[in-house]
Amino acid sequence: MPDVLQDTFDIEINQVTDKDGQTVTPGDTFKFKIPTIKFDIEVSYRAADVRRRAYPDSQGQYAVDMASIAFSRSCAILEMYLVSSTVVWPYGINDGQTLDPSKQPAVDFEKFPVQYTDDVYKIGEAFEQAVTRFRTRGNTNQGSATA
Amino acid sequence: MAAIDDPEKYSFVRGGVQTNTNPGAGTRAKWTQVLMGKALTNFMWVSGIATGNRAAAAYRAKQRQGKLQPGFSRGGKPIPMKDPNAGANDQG
Repeated sequence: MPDVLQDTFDIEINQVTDKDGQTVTPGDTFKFKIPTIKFDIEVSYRAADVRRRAYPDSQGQYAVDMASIAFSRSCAILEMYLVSSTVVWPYGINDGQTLDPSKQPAVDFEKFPVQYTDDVYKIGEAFEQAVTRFRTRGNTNQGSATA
Repeated sequence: MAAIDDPEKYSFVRGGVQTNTNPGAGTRAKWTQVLMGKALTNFMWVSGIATGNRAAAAYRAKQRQGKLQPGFSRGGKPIPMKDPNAGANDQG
């Protein structure tokens, strides 16, 4: 049963499941903050900022392909809402590199290793699916707690 | 004179900087907050914090057993006391 006071939620990608849906090998887990009511607006502007940083001439405007829109939105979600993860690549540490504990952890999409591009897409998609359950009020058929 | 009038006398602030703190420790602590699972375990192992925690736990265990007393070694064994008068007559 979920904690009603939770302010974070976990998503998991790349897990291996058998034909019954049971997890055989656990995947990578990412803990995110639950967005506020401003989510739609702030993630949109952050995605525009991601596109501007990646290609300054674009000035953050949409390109004609859906990939850049989806990718920039996933990067924006990671930069804005990631709390912790079981992998270190979101903090700019590539495979084989050693974490430098004297530097502050920071999520910067420009430092994501290129081999995790598909993971960025998967995280964005899983985040959007998971966050929908916080966007709609639940119905317990018991009215409000204060009524 | 109150501490508010002369903070450098009554605190560890020197030139506006807290001297008895380690900023690197704060940075390492932030990494423990943003990592979880295998990444956190690996980080703790690499940075030696887990080793430090084990040493601290061993120290506390010895403390509970009363082995950290004068006359006992760090391993908890009694140290054989030397006779302070031994060889005193050899001087003369």
